[in-house]
Amino acid sequence: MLSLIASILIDGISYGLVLFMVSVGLTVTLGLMRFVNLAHGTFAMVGGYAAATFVTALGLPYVLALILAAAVAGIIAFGLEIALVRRVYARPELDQVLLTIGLVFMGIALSGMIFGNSLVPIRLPEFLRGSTDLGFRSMPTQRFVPLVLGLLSLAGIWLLFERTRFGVKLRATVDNPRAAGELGINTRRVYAAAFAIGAALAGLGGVAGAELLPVEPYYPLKYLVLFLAVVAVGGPGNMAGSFVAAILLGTVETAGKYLAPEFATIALYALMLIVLSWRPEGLFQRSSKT
Amino acid sequence: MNNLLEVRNLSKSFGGLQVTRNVDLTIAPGDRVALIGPNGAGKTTLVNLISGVLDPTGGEVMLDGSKVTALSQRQRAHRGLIRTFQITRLFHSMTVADTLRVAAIQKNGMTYRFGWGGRSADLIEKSVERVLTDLRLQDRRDNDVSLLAYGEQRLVELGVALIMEPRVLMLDEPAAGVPQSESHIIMDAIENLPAELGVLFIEHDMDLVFRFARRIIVLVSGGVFCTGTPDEIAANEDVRAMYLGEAS
Amino acid sequence: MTNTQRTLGAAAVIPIVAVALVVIFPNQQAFLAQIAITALLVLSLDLVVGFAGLATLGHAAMYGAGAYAAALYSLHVWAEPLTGLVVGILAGGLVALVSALMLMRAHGLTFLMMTVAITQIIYEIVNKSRAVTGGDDGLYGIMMQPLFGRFEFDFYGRLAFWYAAVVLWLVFLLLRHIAASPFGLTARAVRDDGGRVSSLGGGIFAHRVALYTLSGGIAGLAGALSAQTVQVVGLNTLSVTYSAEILVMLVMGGTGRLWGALLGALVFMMIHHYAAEVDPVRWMLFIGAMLVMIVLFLPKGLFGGLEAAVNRLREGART
Repeated sequence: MLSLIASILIDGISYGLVLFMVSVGLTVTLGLMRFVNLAHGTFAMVGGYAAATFVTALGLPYVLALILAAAVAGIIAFGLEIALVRRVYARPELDQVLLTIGLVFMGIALSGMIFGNSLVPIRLPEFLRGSTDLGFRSMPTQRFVPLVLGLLSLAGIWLLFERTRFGVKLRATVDNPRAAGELGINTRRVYAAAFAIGAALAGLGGVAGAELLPVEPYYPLKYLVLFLAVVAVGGPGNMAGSFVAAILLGTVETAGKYLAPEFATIALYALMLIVLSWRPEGLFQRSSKT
Repeated sequence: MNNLLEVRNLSKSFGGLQVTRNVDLTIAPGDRVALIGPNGAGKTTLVNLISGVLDPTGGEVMLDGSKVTALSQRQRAHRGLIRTFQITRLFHSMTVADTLRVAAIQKNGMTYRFGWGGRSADLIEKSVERVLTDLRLQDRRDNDVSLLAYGEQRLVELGVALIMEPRVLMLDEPAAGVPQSESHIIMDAIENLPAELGVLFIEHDMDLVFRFARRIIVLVSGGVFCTGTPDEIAANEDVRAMYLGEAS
Repeated sequence: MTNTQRTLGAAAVIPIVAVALVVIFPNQQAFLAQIAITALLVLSLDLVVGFAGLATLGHAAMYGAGAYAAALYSLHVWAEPLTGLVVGILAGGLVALVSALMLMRAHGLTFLMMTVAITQIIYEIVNKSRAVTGGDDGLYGIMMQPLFGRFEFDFYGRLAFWYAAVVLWLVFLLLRHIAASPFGLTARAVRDDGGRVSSLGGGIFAHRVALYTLSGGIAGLAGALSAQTVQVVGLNTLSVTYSAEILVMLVMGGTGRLWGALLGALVFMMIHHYAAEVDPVRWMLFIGAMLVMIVLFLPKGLFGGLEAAVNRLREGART
């Protein structure tokens, strides 16, 4: 019994950390920049495909491939932001939804055309293969990757927002773009950079989570709800909230898979529905009546 | 005379910040009360509290002698407590006539009618016509509200309130943002408001205040600083020093 | 043009187009029936997206509910078509009503998420209830009795087409009537500024629930028509992907005008018919690119674009 709970917690937390890594960029775009981005999962998928290509086709070492994959996702996002996304910041939500669904469809089609429709594994280096004995059970060694990277991302994001000039600029820009502009902040560049950083983190999450969320063309659509759920439950714009929500949802789904595999998905969606009808602003947002 | 609206000891805090402090005020039929005060004095907050957009932290709002503090904005509107907004809030995809119709539909509880037949539909058309005529907006009937001059938009905002046949009307800066050249149409409209209506209006334009108000309430830091007739307020040294001096 | 002329003109469009399509595509009536049913579904979606201003990815939930309910009804209760349509309306309306009670206090992203969650839950329940719904095999073997007890459903879909087209026509006329009614006007007002409507004493929550339920009933009707004419109901009728696809059709045609829904469904289905068999992957790329282009260059959809072009021509003729 105790070991079952421990298993659920360990698997749930590492799954939750993957969700956090992929979703944290979405928290920024959705919550702070007020841009409804349904295409966010695409960047995680891009990261996954890039890493697989770097390792398999180019023979680069895993760690290097991981970093490059994040960079690729970030650069593609940067380009998309400049070419398309920034044109719809001021447009109604529906337009943003449609544009980004369009991007999702294109992403699915293009990756299907380039990489085929089957799952693409990312070959692991020697030190991550096999399993590690935890005393009461063994765990695939690669599951340490999301654990470590997830915690690093959390720390990195916190530092970036609270301790750097960029963080100050971003917060000033989302608070009041005009005032920020008058202070000499290049608000367009800040937005583009924030969008790209979020995408890069998603790319990292895509690689680190490849064992749990396998890379395939339908990735952006299949897990879209999961990523959005993290943001919605955590409260858009609330980084710490997203973290807790990711761990919570990860653990609930994992527990569901252990205890009642038939109904894990239903349980997850039901939980989300209950939380959101109870607190439409997310779990951790103070409710306000205006 | 009986008071239509009575506010007793009304207070509101956001977190630790008290924005409304123990406000008392009354509005009787035919009253024209101006609410003035420096920026940030909590004038709009007070209107939000009275109209039911915000819940007070303490105190009561009474309408016709019965407590409405627990009622929603909607329920208060049905009892004749109507307000306008400082920044015009019209239905941007609609024509002037449709905007007024929407208000009349809510007023007459016809929201769930799927057709225009029947006597109540005639009633709606009549009240729309009446307001269009009263505000001299007949020529604008089929124009999109978003394409009107701002002064005319303010007029439609007032028309939306009037079609509700309010008993107490709260106007939040009815002339705000209206260019000088158009301000006379707002003045005329306020001048011609039904005599028995109780009116509370927030205004920064002192010409307007002294032209229409028969009583003035000065609000400072969320509390009533003083109340009096226009002459009394104009003669009040403190008010002059703090507010009128600054405004002129 | 007087109002009466305009109403009559609008009423004539669907019958004229229906006849024209049959003349042009005489051997494709089963496909034409599909177009009519899809148009009906997109029309119902326009009530949510265009009239209420809510972006949803869960509209298929009501469509699928109607389809499964009508299929089960005809398999186990009575294979009479018209009562089957009523069952579809009730099923779609019921699903919409129950979800609306949860949904209609939420906005934006939260709303979108919840529509997806509800659809996924229904999808999973139907998927797991294999004994009743056939799971991922779907329901098949639906045999309808003759319409009005006289007209047999034929193999070529001739009756199916006219059946669907007439239902579409009636619903379209009904919705045009509703759009101009106090109910429809209030819906637009709630979309433009819900808070303002409350300040006028309107109950926006109840109104949105009513509108969503109406929309769900019509989506359920479309589902029932599909079950009766295609004679198969599959899980894909309940999917988020299908919800996204009909959203694309609506946006392609133009939201909030009803005409856009018809035009979007027609154009999308035509392109799909001739392009999809070629290569489904490229089809998806095409749809994605279309969406991006429409958002950037044609925000009012094909109907809005057409209208603007016609107006420009008229202006040109006048000067």
